[in-house]
Amino acid sequence: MSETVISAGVQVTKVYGVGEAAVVALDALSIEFAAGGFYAIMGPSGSGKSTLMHCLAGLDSPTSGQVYLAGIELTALPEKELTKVRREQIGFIFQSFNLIPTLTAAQNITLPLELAGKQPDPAHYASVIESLGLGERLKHLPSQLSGGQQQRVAIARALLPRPAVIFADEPTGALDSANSLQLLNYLRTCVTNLGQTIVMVTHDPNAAAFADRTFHLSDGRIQTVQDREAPRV
Amino acid sequence: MFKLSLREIRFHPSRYLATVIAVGLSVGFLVLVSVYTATEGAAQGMEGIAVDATKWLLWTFAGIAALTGIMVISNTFTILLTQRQRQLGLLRAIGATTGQVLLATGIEALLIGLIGDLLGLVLGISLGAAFAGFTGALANGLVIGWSEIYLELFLGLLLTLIAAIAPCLRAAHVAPMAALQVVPTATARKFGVIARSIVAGLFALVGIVMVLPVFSFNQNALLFAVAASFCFAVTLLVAAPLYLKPILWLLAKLVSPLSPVVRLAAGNVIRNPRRTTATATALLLAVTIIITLQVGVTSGREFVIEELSKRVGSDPMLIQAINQAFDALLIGATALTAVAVLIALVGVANTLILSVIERTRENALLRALGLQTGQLKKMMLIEALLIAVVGAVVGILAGLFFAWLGVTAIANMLAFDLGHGIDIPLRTDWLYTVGLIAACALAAALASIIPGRRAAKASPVEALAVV
Ligand SMILES: Nc1ncnc2c1ncn2[C@@H]1O[C@H](COP(=O)(O)OP(=O)(O)O)[C@@H](O)[C@H]1O
Ligand SMILES: [Mg+2]
Repeated sequence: MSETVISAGVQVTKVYGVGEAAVVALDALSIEFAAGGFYAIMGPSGSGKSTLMHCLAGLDSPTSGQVYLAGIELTALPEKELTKVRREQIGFIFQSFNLIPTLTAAQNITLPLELAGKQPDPAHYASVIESLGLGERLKHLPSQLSGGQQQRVAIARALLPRPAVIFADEPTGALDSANSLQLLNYLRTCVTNLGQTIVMVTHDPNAAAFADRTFHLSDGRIQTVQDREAPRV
Repeated sequence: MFKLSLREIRFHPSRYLATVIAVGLSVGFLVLVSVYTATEGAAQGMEGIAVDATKWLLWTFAGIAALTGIMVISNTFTILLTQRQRQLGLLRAIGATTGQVLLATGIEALLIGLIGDLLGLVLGISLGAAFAGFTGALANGLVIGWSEIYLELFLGLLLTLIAAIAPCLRAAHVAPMAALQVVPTATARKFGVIARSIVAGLFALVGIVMVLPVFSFNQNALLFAVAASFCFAVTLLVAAPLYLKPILWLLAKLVSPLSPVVRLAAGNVIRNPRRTTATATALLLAVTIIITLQVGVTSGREFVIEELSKRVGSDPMLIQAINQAFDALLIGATALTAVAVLIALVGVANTLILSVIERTRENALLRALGLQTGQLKKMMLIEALLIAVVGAVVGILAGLFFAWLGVTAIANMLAFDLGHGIDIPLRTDWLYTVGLIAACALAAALASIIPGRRAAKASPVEALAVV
């Protein structure tokens, strides 16, 4: 793992609402992710995991503090530029409702690249499709795919633009254990073999066990940081 | 149940706005005719018959507008109630009877009708007064025949209820369990297709029988042409979902490769064919009528000028006078049918808004994946254009057909009187026709602004929220 910081949050605070109803979702939280690492963010419900991910990925803007991604300060960018960064530098895998129902699997996979006006690199595309076993399913609509297949399409979409970071919010949350295991193994392989940086929000300790480093959140703050002891084979 | 309906309207006023406007425009046109003709008639001291003739002529156009209104309102209720299937299914599951659900949705329709009536009343009286002021008749005082207006308001309620009855019945008969799934069952759809095919086929058959005498020298050719046109119009409207669906599908496939934004828009247009075709049908009807009138007037003008030139030689003064008369006729007819087009476009805006509400999460996902707000607005614009262009183009073709039928009938009627065949050329004012398509496209673009803004408000964070 190289030690270049690819994504970071500095003193990130996010407050929802005002006055009496104000909720501090993130409390001056600082965090760093090195390129080529697999990170898990854990914590009880309401601890601020999703909020942190939204801020790090430029989906939401923090109340104060800075967020950096691939050397760009996201917190300084206007919405239009932020959107560009999202489609070119960031891959997303959500828990459910990951795919556009009117587009085929193939069209879903290439959507962010096409929105950026780019063509996928054919060799890279072929290898991603091949490694995820999606060759037979490319012409199918999401409604014709199983939950596991849908998540694999989402992974392919996230990988294709070779993003700086892939953010995954509970990616196994809607899957059975066999499919979860397959997905986590695949993400692990992407990190190990391709050097892809992945930040995954999860509340499942078994999922977090795949990561190189796990941040435990509570009340919008990092409580503990845990590194994996033995490298997984 | 009354409270439930009231809450629904109070909490989601924007969902009902377009329906209220559609009712308001339909009723407003009727009231406008009453107020204007009464005021104008009183001012000029016109005889009852003369006033009545104008009134009925104008009411015909108001009737066309109201017919478009019924189609738009019916579509709105269908979409609204489909989106609330879960809620209604839950109501049924916790013990509400079919009758109670029907009552709840019926009350909603009634309330919408009442509010629309109110809007129509205000619109009709103020516009009627404005027109009378324009012609100077207002100086003698505004004449409002309340008994007639009460009747028109009642008609407004009635047309809302007629439009809402089928969607409400469908919603009420949803089984508690079936309501929990979003997609309507295949059998229900098949039944719709079969029923539509049968009705459309029967009317087409009767129309064909009626149309035969139109093509021979016949005293009553025009009568037959009108009767046949009515039958064909029913076929055109009833069968609309059947033929518009493949047309939209084909168009969507054709334009999809242009860009990812176009592909998204095309996908949205064909994902819910029932809704899209119903939206396009209202526009189709309005455009058909406009084009029928336009081709009729243009062909008539051509014929009259040609005949006169043959008989008295071409007199520029005379030709100019004829042109002016026909121009006035065309402008008048267009203006009067424009209300129907307006209502149809309110329908387009409405369908888009309801779709945007339904697709909040999907639009948020698109934003997360890198679709710019501008591209999201463009997507809505293209959706509106696809619907409008299909409605307008099919409407133009249908209008050409009806005008051809009418012109042929008149030619053969004259031929019967004269004892020899005459030829009335079928003429279209191409500038006008292209202008109409452009106007429809422009209006559709305007209709997509509010839905587009609403869609662009979708925050990407919503895509990640777990339902
Ligand atoms: N849009 C919002 N408006 C108000 N409060 C919110 C919003 N989103 C999250 N919160 C609050 O912020 C806190 C952190 O939420 P979240 O980041 O979703 O936690 P987690 O993903 O760990 O369950 C919670 O107290 C939650 O109620
Ligand atoms: Mg969360």
